[in-house]
Amino acid sequence: MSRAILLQYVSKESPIHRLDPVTKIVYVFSLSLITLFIFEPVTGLLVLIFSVLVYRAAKLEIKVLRNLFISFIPAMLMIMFVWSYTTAKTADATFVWRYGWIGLTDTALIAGSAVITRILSVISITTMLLATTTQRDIIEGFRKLGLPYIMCFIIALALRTIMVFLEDYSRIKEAQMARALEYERGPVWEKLVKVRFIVIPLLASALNRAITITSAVESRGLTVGGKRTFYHTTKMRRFEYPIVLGLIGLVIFVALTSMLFGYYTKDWFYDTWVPLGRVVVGFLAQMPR
Amino acid sequence: MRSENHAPIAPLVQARGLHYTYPDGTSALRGIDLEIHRGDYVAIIGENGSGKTTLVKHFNGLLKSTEGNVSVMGIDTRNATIAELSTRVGYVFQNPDDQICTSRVEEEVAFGAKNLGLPRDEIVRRSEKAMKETGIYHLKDQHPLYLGKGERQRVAVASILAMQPEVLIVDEPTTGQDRRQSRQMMDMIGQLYSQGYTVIIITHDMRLVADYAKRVVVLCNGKVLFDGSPADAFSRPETIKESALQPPQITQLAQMLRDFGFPPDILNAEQMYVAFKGIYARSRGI
Amino acid sequence: MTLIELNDFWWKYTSSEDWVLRGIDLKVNRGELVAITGPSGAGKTSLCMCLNGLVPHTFRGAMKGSVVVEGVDTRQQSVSALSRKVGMVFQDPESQFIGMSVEEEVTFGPENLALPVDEIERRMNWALKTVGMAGAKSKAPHELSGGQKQRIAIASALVMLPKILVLDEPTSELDPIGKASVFSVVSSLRREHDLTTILVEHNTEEIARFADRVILIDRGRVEIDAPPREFFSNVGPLEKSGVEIPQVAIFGNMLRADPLLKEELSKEALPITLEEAYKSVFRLLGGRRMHEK
Repeated sequence: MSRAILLQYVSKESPIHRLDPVTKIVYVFSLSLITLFIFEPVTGLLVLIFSVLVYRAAKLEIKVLRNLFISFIPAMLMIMFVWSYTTAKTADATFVWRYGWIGLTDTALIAGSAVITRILSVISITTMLLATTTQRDIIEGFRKLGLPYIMCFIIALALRTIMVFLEDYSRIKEAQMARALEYERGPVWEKLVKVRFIVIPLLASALNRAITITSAVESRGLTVGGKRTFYHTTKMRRFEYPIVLGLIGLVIFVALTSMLFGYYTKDWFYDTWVPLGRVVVGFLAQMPR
Repeated sequence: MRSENHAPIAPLVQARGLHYTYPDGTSALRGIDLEIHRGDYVAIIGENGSGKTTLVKHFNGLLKSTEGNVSVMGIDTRNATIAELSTRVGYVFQNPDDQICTSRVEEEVAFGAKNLGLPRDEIVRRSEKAMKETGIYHLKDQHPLYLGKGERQRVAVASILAMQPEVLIVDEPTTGQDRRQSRQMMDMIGQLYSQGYTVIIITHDMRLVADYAKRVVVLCNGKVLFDGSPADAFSRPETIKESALQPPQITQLAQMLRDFGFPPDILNAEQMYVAFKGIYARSRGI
Repeated sequence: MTLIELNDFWWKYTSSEDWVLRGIDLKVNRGELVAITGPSGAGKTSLCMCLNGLVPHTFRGAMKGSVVVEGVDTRQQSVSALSRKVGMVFQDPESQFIGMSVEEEVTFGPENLALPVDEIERRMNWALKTVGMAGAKSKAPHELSGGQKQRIAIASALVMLPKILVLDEPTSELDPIGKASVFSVVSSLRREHDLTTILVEHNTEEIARFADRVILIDRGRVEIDAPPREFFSNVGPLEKSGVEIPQVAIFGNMLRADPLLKEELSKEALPITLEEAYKSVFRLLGGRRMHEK
């Protein structure tokens, strides 16, 4: 159930909710793009903290995010250990911690934790988008950004039809269960084999619905590529334009520094953060207790 | 003909203090006590949202009560699987297209029996019997999706009959059909009834209830408002008002003319004619 | 003024083996409410779809003869152009509802016509009020009953301001309350607006109440085309096609067959609605006219 909550619009009064969907979409894409250039954890952490702050600014509950985060970490730890193991023999392997044949190389640790921050950032950003923007507005945002209307229409129709299909699925399942199709108990793989008895009628139902939907849509004058007006549309406010430009600029900055100067990598981590860390630690050590 | 049995018999289906609340909190059934006996032909009627389908889904285990219990031939439905209950209570869903998943009518009819894990020759025997009972034996090699709506419905009924239940539940047998198909469907159900099946139908069509059902259970807001004969159901103004039912047109006519002596429980044109003759004769002093 | 004219119209889909509509001759005048009834598979839906161009433009096949809507052959008009003239309501309340909210649903048509936003707003409010769903703008489809969804479907058709409204079995899938709400809208549309309506229905009791003409279609042909009272007198053909006449008419026919009453009723028209039957029996039993219903 909590997974469903993730994808749903939550109506609240917050500055983020009031932002134009275009701004939010640009935010999601730019920050996600930025994470692609990050291979070390400190920058990753900065991005993560920023996205969580924006998430909180939207008055959304941390609880939902936290549960997700927690469920990711064991998987990532596993990956880091496996990575270390497989790269143990290479020249690059400097072990940070070792116990017999289990250990963690610095590469695995740095890159792995970077990946964690990247994934968690993307989750925070996307959840925030979905929770603060209605489906209709998201699609409208994409349309403003250049997605052809017919694509927008198809996406919206698909989302609407999915709901109808879920009801169809549940009805068909019950009808088949009433014919002694055992779907409550039993191993998962058995259910997978049996699912065809639900899928076949579902497809037939889908085809029939497609005919009605086509008829309904055409009867109301839909043409592909024709001129149309939009009753419900959103408008970006003046201060949102600089935000959008700033985000795009940030992406360019990160991309360039990464590609040209090798920022945000393991070596960069050693060159930049470790000395900085030493300074900070030294400074803190000097302070009177 | 049905034989009268004077000793008290256990009901086939029994609901005691049945409550059902959906996972989202809406209360659908609020304390239902109901017994279905062998030889009943019950029409369950009521507005959409009154709990008709919810109630009936308890009879074959699709839903399990949140309070109170439902037992089918002595077995508590909470302790049985839907598959097990399907051999006692057959549920024919409204739309036959929701279940067609094979390419031959005979296979489709055998689907349920096959799921029960019966031996091959038993499955064949039961399927043939079911197809003959529903008058579709001559269609057994055809593709179910290419049949007409009425025929597809018969296939759906046959596939339930092949599991040999004692009770047959038919959910909205006539919605979305023309009058002839509706009559054919109801006639077929009537025939199955006379062959010994206990029948429960859920319907909105009051004319068909008047013509076919022997007992009517009116649900309103998750409770049983009335349980008795169709004639009684349609002649009680309070029942009609509270459940928002509309009796058949001819019943309404009789009720409008009650001051002339027309009984309020007239169910069809013949009865109206007979009543009219009597009243007309009296008014002319014949 | 003739708004719709079918001239010896034959139609078959590319996938059909045989002609689905055979030699249909039909004229519908402005303001009429024409009911179409007949068994399943008779061609009623195909007939509806040829009125707004779905046949032959979207659902392809072969045709003979012509369909003329508001003076122009449908072969020469696109479905989009015809959508301004002919509004269509289909049987399934669920599949027809393509938007995620009532507002989206009702504004979809006018958006396609590229109407200005304030015009769309005006039309939407008018259409919702006409079908009795004025407060429902923000409702999602799952919050609506079948009857409500069908009324929104009617509103979505009305919002195109067509002169003709075609409803193909709009109440088949609805419960009695839903049916009543849809019939009430159709009946008020007829009384208060100048809408020409084609209604495909199985429910003969309702047809008897407000149709100007009733047409029986069976196996692709027009078998009967007459005003309701005359229509329901054709007991033989109606039975053959599986169409049930209203119970009060069956009762009325029984009275007319009775030797004692034959004479008295020979001058009186067959009652086909509840009100007419009441009045007729009231008179026969010598009731004093205390109040005219």
